[in-house]
Amino acid sequence: MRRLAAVALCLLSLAPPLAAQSNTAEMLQRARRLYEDVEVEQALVILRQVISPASPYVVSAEQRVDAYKYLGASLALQQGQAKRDSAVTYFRAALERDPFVDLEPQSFSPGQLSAFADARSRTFAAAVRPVRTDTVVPGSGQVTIRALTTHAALLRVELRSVTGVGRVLYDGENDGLREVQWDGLLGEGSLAPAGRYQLDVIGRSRLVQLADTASLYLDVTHLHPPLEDTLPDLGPGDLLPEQYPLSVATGNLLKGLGVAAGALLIQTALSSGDLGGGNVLLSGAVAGAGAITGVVSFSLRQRNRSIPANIAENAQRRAAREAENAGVRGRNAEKLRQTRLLIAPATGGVR
Amino acid sequence: MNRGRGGLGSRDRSVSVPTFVPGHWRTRGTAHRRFGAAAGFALGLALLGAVPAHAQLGVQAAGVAAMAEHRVNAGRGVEQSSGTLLGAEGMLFIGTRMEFFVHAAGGKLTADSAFADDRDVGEAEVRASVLTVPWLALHAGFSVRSFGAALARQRWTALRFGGEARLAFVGGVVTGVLRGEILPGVTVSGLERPSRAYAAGAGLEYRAGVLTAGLRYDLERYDFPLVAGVERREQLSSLKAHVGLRLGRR
Repeated sequence: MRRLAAVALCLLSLAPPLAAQSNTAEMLQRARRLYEDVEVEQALVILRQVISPASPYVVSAEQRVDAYKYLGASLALQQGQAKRDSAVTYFRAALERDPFVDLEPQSFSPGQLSAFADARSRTFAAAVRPVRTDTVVPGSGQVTIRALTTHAALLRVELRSVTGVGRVLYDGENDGLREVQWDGLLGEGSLAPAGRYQLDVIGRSRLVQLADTASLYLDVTHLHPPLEDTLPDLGPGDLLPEQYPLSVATGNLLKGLGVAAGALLIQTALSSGDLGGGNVLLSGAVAGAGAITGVVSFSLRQRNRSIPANIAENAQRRAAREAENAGVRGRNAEKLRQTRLLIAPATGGVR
Repeated sequence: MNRGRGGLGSRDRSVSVPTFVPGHWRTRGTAHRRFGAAAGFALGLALLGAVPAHAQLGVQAAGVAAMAEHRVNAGRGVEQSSGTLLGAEGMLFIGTRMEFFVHAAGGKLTADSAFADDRDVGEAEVRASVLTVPWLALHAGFSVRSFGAALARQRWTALRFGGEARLAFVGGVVTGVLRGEILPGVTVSGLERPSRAYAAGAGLEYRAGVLTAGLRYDLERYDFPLVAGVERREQLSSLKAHVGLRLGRR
């Protein structure tokens, strides 16, 4: 029993907000029904309860806009300038909260529409609708951006990336809703790089000295087949040395002198002393040749340290790498030509 | 083919076949030969193991001209003769680790004094080498040499074991060569085996494309044991030049 009681308490603790949401919606629905039944006074009472700060229920922004709209509409149905002025005030309150709010001509009377138009002319706001997630073929496909000024204004719709590059999508006169198309390209006709973009809607009223700006953020993602990596630059370990180190010349000299010393050593130390040693002319010829070879090789290596075979081999390796990378770049370019842009609203939405 | 019993290099034709004289030199000679046989056996095994299954072949053929000088002291002073030998050499390369070498040359050595004889010389050698590392080849071989004089012909044979260091100059055109050999199994017709025999050489090899040329100084020394109070000494030194072609793998 105790457990049951605890569950019941939990449910009760959750109940009030749900009930509040529900009650506001029910109140609005009831008010709308009364309005449609031309029970305007009763509708006004309920709508005023909805917008009242003393309302015990949670009222969402949309519900509040709806309430202001029907308050305006209800008052516009009543006779008298004061009522009309009040209607305009409520319409303005609705417009200030949601510039996209509108009265459908087939559902509202000319008087109501006139009061609403009056409210729009006195209120200035620029706004933009959140963009729906869409895929665009750059250059040919288009994503629609809905911007609005509440009355006649100079409108500028501008898209900018975080790096500063961008494109002006519209710059001109506007009154009301305007649908602007974007094909995924930037100013110079280049593909919009992937990343975050800011869409600014800037309006300057033609009727009052007011300007307004609305912004939203878009995330642009490139959709294409996976790209291949190009080969990395050839590092020191990938190339053969193209020059002999200085020690090589010395090494050659020592080798030549080593052969010369070897010949003389054989002739002197390994020959038989009983036989008068060896023939110095024979060993001397090799010793001389060894010494000359060493000195000449030393001299040549010092003057020309390049290794032609390695230079040619390195050139081949570089050419092979370049050819491979050219192929990769070509294939990647083909894949990039198939790029689609995924455009989605970014977290942060409308400002 | 011996036409005389005494060793060449001596005018004294009465010298008989040397008799065995036990002693210090002889003992050393036996140890020398045993060491040589063991080294030869080990090298033979290494050669067998070094032959790859699908080795690429290369070949070198060259003509050889040598200025040779022979000195001998058989107890009556140094006799010296010199002259030119002409011949040919060939090498077969199997892969990068095995080589076979053949050499044949002949010529006439002219005595430098009336005290000595002129003599004809003919020699041949075969040798198999294995390169343990690119700069060091160990080899085993066999050589035959014949000295012919007016009254006698003397035949020399020798087993040869040794190594050859190859000092490649950077650029690959020139290679310096230093070679050392022991000759453990020398036989000389009409003479006791030498108690000590060795050979050494130093030279240069030049290569340009398929052309190859070389210059080498070689010295062979033979110390014979004491026989009848005489310790015979012989030495053959030469300056060899060769020019040839090298085709194939290396």
